[in-house]
Amino acid sequence: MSQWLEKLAHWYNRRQKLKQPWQSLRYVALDIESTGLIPKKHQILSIAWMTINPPVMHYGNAQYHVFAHGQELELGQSPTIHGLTEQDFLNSSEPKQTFVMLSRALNDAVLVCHHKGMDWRFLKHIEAQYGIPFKPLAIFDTLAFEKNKLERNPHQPIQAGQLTLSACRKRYNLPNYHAHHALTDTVACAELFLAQCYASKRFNEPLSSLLKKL
Amino acid sequence: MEVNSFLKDCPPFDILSEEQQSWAVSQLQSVYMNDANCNEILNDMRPALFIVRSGVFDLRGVDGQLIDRLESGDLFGYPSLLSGRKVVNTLKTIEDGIVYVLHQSAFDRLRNASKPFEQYFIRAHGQRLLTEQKSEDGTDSDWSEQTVGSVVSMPPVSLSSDTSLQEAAQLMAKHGISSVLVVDETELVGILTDRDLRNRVVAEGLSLEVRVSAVMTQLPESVYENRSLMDALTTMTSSNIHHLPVVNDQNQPVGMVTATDLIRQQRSDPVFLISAIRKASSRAQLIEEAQKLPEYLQTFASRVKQTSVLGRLMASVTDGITRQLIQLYEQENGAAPAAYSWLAFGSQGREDQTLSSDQDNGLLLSNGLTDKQKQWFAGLGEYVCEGLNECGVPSCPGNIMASNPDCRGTIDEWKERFRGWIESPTPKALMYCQIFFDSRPVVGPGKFYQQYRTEIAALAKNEMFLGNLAIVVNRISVPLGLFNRLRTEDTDDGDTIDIKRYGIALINDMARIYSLQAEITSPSTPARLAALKGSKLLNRQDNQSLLEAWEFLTQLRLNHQLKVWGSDKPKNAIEPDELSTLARRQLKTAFKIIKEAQQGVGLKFGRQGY
Repeated sequence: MSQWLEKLAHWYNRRQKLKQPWQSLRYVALDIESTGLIPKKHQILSIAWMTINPPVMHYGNAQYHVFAHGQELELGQSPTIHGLTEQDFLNSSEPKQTFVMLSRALNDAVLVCHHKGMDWRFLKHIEAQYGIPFKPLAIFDTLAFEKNKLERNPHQPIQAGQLTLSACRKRYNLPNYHAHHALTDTVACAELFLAQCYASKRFNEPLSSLLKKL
Repeated sequence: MEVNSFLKDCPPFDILSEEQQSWAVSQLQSVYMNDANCNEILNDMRPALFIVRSGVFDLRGVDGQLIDRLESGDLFGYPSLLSGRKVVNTLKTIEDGIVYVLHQSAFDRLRNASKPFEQYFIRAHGQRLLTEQKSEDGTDSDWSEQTVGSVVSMPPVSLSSDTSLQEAAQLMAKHGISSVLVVDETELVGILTDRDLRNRVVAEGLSLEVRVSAVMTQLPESVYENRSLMDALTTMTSSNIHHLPVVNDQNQPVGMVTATDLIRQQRSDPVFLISAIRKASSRAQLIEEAQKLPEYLQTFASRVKQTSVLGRLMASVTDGITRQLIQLYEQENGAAPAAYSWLAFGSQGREDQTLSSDQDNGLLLSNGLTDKQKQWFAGLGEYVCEGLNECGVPSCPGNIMASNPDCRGTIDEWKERFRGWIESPTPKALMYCQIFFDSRPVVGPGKFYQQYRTEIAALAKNEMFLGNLAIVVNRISVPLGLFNRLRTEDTDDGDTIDIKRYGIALINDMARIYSLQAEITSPSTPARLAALKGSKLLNRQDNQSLLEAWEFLTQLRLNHQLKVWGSDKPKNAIEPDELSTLARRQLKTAFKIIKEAQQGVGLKFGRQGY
C-alpha cells in the first residue's frame, strides 16, 4: 500500500514538474557509441553526457567514458568510425561506476538524445544487467521533435538524410561539427535541443506541451 | 573534442599550451543565445569572457550605437574583465547561435599563466577604447582633441565699442579679468586688454572719456569653439597673443581662452613642435624643425589613443608652417597690401592629412587689386608653396597650389571657377570638386572666408551636379568579392588593398555630397557627419556607421604609414593577410558599410545625373 502511495506521489511530483516552463528544468544530453544496434549482441564503446540548465551547457562537468571490455570486444567496423584508438581504450573507465554516475545525473532531469530508440534500449539493458535504475523525468528526442515538425508540412515529404543530427543542426544555423565522437555528438545534440525549444514562439512554454510535439 | 579544435584556431587561445587549452575547455560554459535571452545571459554571467561560436550579434553601447558586429571567433566582455568596471553595453541578436563563456576566475588564471594571452586582451582593449565614450571629466581623453568650447567656462564679458575707457576699466576690475571682448550687435569687433590700457592709454596720457574703439585691437584673431585646443595653441603662438576670443559658427563671441587655460590642459607635448616652428626665424631653421615631424609622430602616436587625431595634428603643423612662411615672406616683402585668406584644400582642409599627403592650397583675394599688389600675392604663393615642399609637404602634382595663378582669385573669380565645374561636370571638374569643396582658412579674417564659402555652398546645391557626384561615387566598387571576401590586387608589394581609394576617399566623397545638399560648410568628414545628425537624408545609424568606418580606416592607414615610413612601400595599400583576424573582420565590416552607403547615395542623388 505504502509502495503504491509512493508511486502515486512520484507520478504527481513528476506531472507537476513537467508543467513548469521548460527553461526551469535540468536536462542531460547523452550519446552512446556502440559496436552495433542490439544491446544483447553489441557493446557500448563510449558514452558521453552533459548537464544543461537552459540556456547554459556545462562543459566543465561533461562526462566522456570509453569501455575496454577486456578481451571480449567485438571491434567490427565501428571503432574506426567512432574515431577511437587503442590509446583511448587504455584510458578506459569501469562500467559500473560510470553507470552509477549517470544514474545520479539523470535523477530529476530530462534525458535529451537524438533518436532515443537506440540509446534508451542500451540504458534499459544496463538497468537489467547491473541493477542500476535510470529514472529521468522524461525523454526529449530531438529527432522525433524534428520529424514531427517536418511532417506538419504535407507538401514536402521527408527526404532521406533530413533527420540526421547534422542535417537538423543545419536547419537551425548551428555550426557543422565532425560527428561520430560521443562527446561531440552530445554537445551537438544539446545545442540542437536548445535551438528547437527556443524556436518555440510561446513564452515560458511548459515542458509537457513541448513533449507533446515529439 | 570539437571545442578544443575551435579554440586552437581562435586567437589568443592559439598561443596557450595544449594543456592550458584543455584546462580552458574544462572551465567553459556554453549558451544558446537568442534575442529573448541574450541580455539576460550577459547580465547573469558577467564579468566573463564571451566567445562567439556561431550566430551573429550586435554589441551596442549605452546610447544604442553599434560598437561591433560579432561573428564566429569574435570575443567580447573583456573590457570589464580587465578594468573591473561594470558592463554597460547591450546585445542584439541578428542570428541565434552558440556562445562560450569563460568566467572571471578562469580568465584570471589563464592571464596569469600566459603573458602573451594577457597582452592580447590589453591590446584589444586599447582598440576598443576608440569606440568607447569619452569619460565625462575628460581625464581619459587626449588634450589635443578637446575642443576649445570645452575649456571656455565663463560666459564672455563684453562691452560695445562706444563704451568709455573708464567704464571699460571698471568692468574689467569688477570681473577681475585682464581682457574684454568688444562686441557690436552680437558680432565680435575687437578686444581690449590690460596691456592696451597700459601702453595705449596710460602711457600716452589719453583721456578716460575716449571710447574703447579708439584703442582696442580691431578684428582680433579668434578661434571657433568647435576647433581643437591644438588649433587655439597654433593661433596663439603664431600671432604671439595670450588671449584668444572664442566664437561660434555665426562669429558670435562665446568666451575667451588664454594661454594659461591651455597650459592647464596640456598633458602632452605637441606644444614643443608647434612652438619650435613658430620660433624659427629663418626658412632654413623652419625646414630643419619640420623634418623632425615623422620621427616626432612615431613617438606621439604611441601615446595617443585615437590616432585619427594625428590627421588633425598634421594639418595643424602644416597650418603652423604655412603661417610661419607667410610671416617670413612679409618680413622680406612688406605686409600684405590688402585683406586676403590663405586657403587649405583637400586633406589639409579636411584635417585628415597623412605623412604622404601633398599640398592643396590657394589664395582668396580682395577685389580691385592693382597689378603690383597681385604681384605681391603671386610672390607669396610661390614662396610658401616652395617652402612647404622643402619642409616635407610635397608639391601637388595637379598643381593645386597658391603658386598657380588659377588658384588665386577674388570671391567672384573663385565662384566663376566653381560655376564652370558645376555646369559642365567633366571628369576633371568633378575631381576638382572633390578637392576644392573641402576648404578651410589658414590665415585671414574668418568673416571674409565665411562669405566666400557661403556663396560657394549656394552654387553647389544643384540636383544635377549632386547627381553627377553620386554617379562618380558609385563607379568605384568596394573590394568585396563573393561571400564578402576581401578582394585584393596582385601587386609587386603583395596582395594589397588601397584603403584610401576604396575606403577613406569614398566616405569623404559621400559625406561631401550630403553636406553640399545640406549646405554644411565645415570641411572635415567627422564634423560634416556630426552636422548631418538629424538630417532626413542620412539616418542616425548610417551616419554613425560611416563615421566608425572612417575612423577605423584612417587609423589603419596611419598605423600602416608609420610602419612603412622610410621604406618605398606603398603608403595607402595594406595587405589583409598581415592584419589580425580582428582587424580583417573590421575591414570587411567597414567595406560593407561603405557599399550600403554608396547604394544609398545612388538612390537619393544618382537619378539626377547623366
